[in-house]
Amino acid sequence: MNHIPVLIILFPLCGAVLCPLISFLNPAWGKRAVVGTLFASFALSVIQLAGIVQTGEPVHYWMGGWAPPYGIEFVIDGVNGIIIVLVAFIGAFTSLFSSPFEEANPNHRFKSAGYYSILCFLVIGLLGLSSTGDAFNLYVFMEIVALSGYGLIAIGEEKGPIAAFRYLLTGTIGACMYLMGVGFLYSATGTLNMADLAIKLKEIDNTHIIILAMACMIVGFGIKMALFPLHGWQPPAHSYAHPAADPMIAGVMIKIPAYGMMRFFFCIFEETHPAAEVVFNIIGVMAVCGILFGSLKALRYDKYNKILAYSSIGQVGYIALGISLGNFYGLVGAVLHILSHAFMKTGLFYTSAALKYKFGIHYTDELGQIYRKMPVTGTAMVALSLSMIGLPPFAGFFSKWYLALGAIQNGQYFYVAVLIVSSLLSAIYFFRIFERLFMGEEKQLEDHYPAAEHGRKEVPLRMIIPVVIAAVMVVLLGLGNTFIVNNVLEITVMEVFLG
Amino acid sequence: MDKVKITGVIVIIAGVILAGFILGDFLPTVGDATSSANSYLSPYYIEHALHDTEAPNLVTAVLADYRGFDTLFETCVMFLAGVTALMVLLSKRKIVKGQRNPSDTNGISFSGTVLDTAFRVLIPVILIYAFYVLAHGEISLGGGFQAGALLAIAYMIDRLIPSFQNRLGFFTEETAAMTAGVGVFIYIFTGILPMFNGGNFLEYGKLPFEFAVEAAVMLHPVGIFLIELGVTVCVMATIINILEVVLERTKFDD
Amino acid sequence: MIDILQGFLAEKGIYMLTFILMGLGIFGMICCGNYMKKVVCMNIMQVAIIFFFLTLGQKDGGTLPVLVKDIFEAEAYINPLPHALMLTAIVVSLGTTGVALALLMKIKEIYGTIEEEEITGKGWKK
Repeated sequence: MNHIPVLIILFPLCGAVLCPLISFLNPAWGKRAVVGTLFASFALSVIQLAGIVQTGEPVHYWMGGWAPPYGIEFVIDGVNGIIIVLVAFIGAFTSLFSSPFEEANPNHRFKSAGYYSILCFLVIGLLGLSSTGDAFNLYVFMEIVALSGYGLIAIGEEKGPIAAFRYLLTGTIGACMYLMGVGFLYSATGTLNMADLAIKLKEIDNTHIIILAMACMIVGFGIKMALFPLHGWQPPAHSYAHPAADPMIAGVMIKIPAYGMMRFFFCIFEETHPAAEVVFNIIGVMAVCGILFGSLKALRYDKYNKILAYSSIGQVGYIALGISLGNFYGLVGAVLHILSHAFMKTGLFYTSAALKYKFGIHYTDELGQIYRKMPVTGTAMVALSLSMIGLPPFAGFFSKWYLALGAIQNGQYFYVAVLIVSSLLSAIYFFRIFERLFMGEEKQLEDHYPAAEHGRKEVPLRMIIPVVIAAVMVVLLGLGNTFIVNNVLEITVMEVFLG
Repeated sequence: MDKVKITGVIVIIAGVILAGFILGDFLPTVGDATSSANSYLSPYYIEHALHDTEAPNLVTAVLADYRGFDTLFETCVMFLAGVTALMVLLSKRKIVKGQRNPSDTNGISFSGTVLDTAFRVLIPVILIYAFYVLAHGEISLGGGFQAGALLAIAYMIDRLIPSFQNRLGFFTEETAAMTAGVGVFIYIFTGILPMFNGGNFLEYGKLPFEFAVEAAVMLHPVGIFLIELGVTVCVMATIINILEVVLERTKFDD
Repeated sequence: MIDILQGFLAEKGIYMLTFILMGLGIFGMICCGNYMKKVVCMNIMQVAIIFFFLTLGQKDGGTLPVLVKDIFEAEAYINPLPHALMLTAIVVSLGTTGVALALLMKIKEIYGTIEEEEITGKGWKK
């Protein structure tokens, strides 16, 4: 029972490394092994979160039996537990969603096995990034996430390899900056464990190295989460990734480093440090520029994936805005936005992949009257887009509401203005999509999955279920939002970040 | 303005700021044995490693025992790099089971009298040295990564020098990826075994091999050897994987 | 004056060199036109970080971190922890370089060139 923190990572790990071997013997079973282990991991993560909420104590797991500063430990508290459930959930459903894209081909045994292995490693890396309590271990998990990202983007569409190469160069600079930050912290304190660092950083009186370490962390995490001036790799990478893995990449992969940044800035560096205010202001400026840049640039493009990619830059700006506010409502808004935007963006990329699978649609002007041929996908697109704009009762409204409350609490009314302006701008490009969807003229498109053959009007069942679940979760997160914030987030955010 | 000039100016400004910081005494003196970096965790490792893990090589003790979890994911990074290189450069030809592909037989070979004789002597020596480095990883310098690289070198010499039909080792790209997966699985399995015996993941003191050793602390070298074996297999298979993937698309003109 | 300079170089000089190396690596990654040169500069930058960590672990008069018979004092050996961490960093950099070279081969196959201006000219919009 107490081995759950490591079992969540071990099950998918065994699935991922044995997938090539199993596929050699029987191609379909390799795929099923990965999907099965990811669902098992999701079940375990729910059990773990239930345990944490019940006892109210964080869970510690010592690897190798060595006590913390000498060994590595996993620390799972309330906020962590929720993010692990989120990553496992989306990972399991994305692996289910990708099965029609990667039909097991007996002539080319390795193709689907390699894809599933890399996707599973992406999920493992993200799970590990959220659970670990050791600064250097976080670097290793970050590199696993990055390498699997490079792989999944490179096997994508036409400009995939070059988008992956540019992401590789930028991502390596980010990881090296993070490593340099860890090096500075190690030279000042002599330890690598996060809880230990928090204690020791209060005792040293050398403030310059803390400022330098904070700057390195901002650059390192900023590159990984595509914060404003460091976002250059993101639009091509998210537009040209493999369509079935894109939901995972665009929805979850850029959020977990934002959680890592929260962990570093609120649990390790103390907020009362004199340089902290300047640092938070810098993050705030980057966030505001990112929000406005993302929303404005998304108006220019007609390619569906590119619009969604630029809109992600803006949404990550919201999370960074929550971090820079630093007070209770700001952090609750940031964590809630991680949850709700993960479902919204993942759902939108599911619909984009479904459109590509059935009709080969890449541009929004080919979307005319598609809701007649794909009713479920069309409804989900409408629901998710309304949530992205920020209309109640969908989930997108509530996270922006908490961020606005946090800004008012701090007296920074400029941020409230930015929030309103960006919501209006996203309304413009999403309503343009609606206009083409409902009132565009119908294009003659080649149907790759015809209804007559398969007895179903839409895409296969394995693809429809994740789309529907994403849309339903967005509605549920919106309606059940007070329950989540009052019973779970308030206590955990207060205790973990501000306690 | 020119991209080179802008970047140059930014880098020089950053460098000057950093130099100012360094002059301001914030990094420890090089070689200071009492700096904070050297005086919290490392005296513990130096003084207790032999007692806790029976491994005189302190770097192996830290890498494979105290921080063995990091090493597991480092091995996974190697496996991932091999699989990713394979997926990116996946060839379009159909691989029919059992049939040798015609392009393989125009093999690349560098044979000549000297090389033909030399490689027959070199390969056994390298193999013996690789197993020595693997087995002595915890006593003197060595370890799993180095042994894996040496085994891959032995395979590389065998692959490049004789012609395709006369070579001794037979790995294809997919077989190499599978072997790398098996290597990582050996590592994970060594970590899972203590969990059945009441210990945590990778806790070598609770491995169920008590019948084979005299004291519980001697289980640690057994555990370290098993994980280094897994690391060796994975590293060797990944290097062979990348070699085969690259060789398939290379044309030699001479 | 010379003594101050010598003292500075002996105590903190290596840090200056590692930061210069890292600056050169990042400058090369941004400004070189050929993708292969960018990969080489990426390696230079990673090596600079590795040197930085290893310098933190030096001790005057310490020997290799392999225990010699019957000597257990902490001052006799250099710090083993940065060496273990940097073994991991070296392996990660090897993996990243392997993937980068595979991607370069694929790019050369698709575009026929690995110069940045020619690829930008062939329709890759920045």
